[in-house]
Amino acid sequence: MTMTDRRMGNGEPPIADPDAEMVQAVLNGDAGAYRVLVERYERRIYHVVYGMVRSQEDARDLAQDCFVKAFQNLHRFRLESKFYTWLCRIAINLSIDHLRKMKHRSHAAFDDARSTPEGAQVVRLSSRRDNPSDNVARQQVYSQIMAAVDTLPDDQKQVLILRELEEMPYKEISEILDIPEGTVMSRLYYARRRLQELLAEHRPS
Amino acid sequence: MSLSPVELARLHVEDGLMAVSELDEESLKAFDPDVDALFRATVREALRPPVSPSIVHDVMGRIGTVVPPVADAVRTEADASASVVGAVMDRIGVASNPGRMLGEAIRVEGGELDSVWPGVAAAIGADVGIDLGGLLRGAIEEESEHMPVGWGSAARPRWVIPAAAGVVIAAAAALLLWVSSTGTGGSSVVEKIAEGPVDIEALEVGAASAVQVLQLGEDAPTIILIEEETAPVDGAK
Repeated sequence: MTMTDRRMGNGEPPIADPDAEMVQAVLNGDAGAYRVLVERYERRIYHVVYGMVRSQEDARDLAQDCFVKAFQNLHRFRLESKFYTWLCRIAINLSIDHLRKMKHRSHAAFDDARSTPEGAQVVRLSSRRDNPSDNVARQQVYSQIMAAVDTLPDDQKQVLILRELEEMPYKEISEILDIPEGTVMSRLYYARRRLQELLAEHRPS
Repeated sequence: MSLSPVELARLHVEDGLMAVSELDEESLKAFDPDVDALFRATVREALRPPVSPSIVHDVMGRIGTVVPPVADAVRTEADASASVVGAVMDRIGVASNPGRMLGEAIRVEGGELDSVWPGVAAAIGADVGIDLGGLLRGAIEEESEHMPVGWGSAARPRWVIPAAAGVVIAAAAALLLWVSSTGTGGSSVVEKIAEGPVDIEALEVGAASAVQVLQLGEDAPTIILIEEETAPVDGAK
């Protein structure tokens, strides 16, 4: 198998959607089956939405909205694609709409959340690193990265989040965003280079 | 905006779709794969949200379907199986008895208790293998002087009392009744009357006398003590 085959997924059998049965059950009137789907994907959807809006409160509300909207429109879902792909598209669209409405608050809310004592990110870092000065330095780097991510164009940011947070293949990202795979790759490439440039500018000499 | 071969190679190495060893010289001069890998790992760490709250309950509430959690479902299922028991018992004509069911439940929960007898036997110095039932039956038979009767036996044994002995006992009893009915000193009246043949030819005492009849052995002579109210008198045979 060549690199291109791996990248494009050529020669591989189509992967059956593990959620098809549950989706069909919901469509057949078993609303309780939807709980399984929510439990299965709530964490991932929350991560995607949080990556976009970076406000815990907003991310929680938007993740809920995503699942509610998906339930209400499930009859429109085509089983040809994966349920999670479809769900993720809804989450991205909701996040974009939210950012358009609330552009001014995303960065400030993110900084507030991360600076709070309850910020698990800080706790996680502290638990991993015994050296307080390393924690502070790392925290500063993360803040700079997130500030740099905020400066990215929305289309690059979407691709970056789906790839880095969800490790989605190019193909799946292209389906979610409804763009060619080549566009996915180029957006991802330039997003990374842009972040590297921004961080290099802030790097202490 | 399409990527150049070097840019595409760099992207694929970053995403693990190409090995560093596959890179050509031009690519290796253009970028450092190790720096890219470290940078990507840092970005991923920075993007990760601090917490991941559960929203499932809120979502299910919003769509109007509050489904009991799995544990509740299991409990509900268990209740249904319990009702099957009642239905079966009704069908076979056995009314369910809560008290009996409770007792069975307690017994099942308590398990089988080992016999306490070995401990008791050790404490009282008895033989663990002793036949308690046999001992008990023997004690009862001995006390009641019961003669076991088997089915099909010819006849029950009879108590045979010699006629002479019966006359003597009857006479002694009559004497005692007469004496006690005529006596006045209750404290000194008959204290003991031994069993055995008594042969009394004649006995005359006053109304205020006390009489004692003694026989200290089966073959010993019978002693009759008569105590006059006025003056002590030794008995005579």
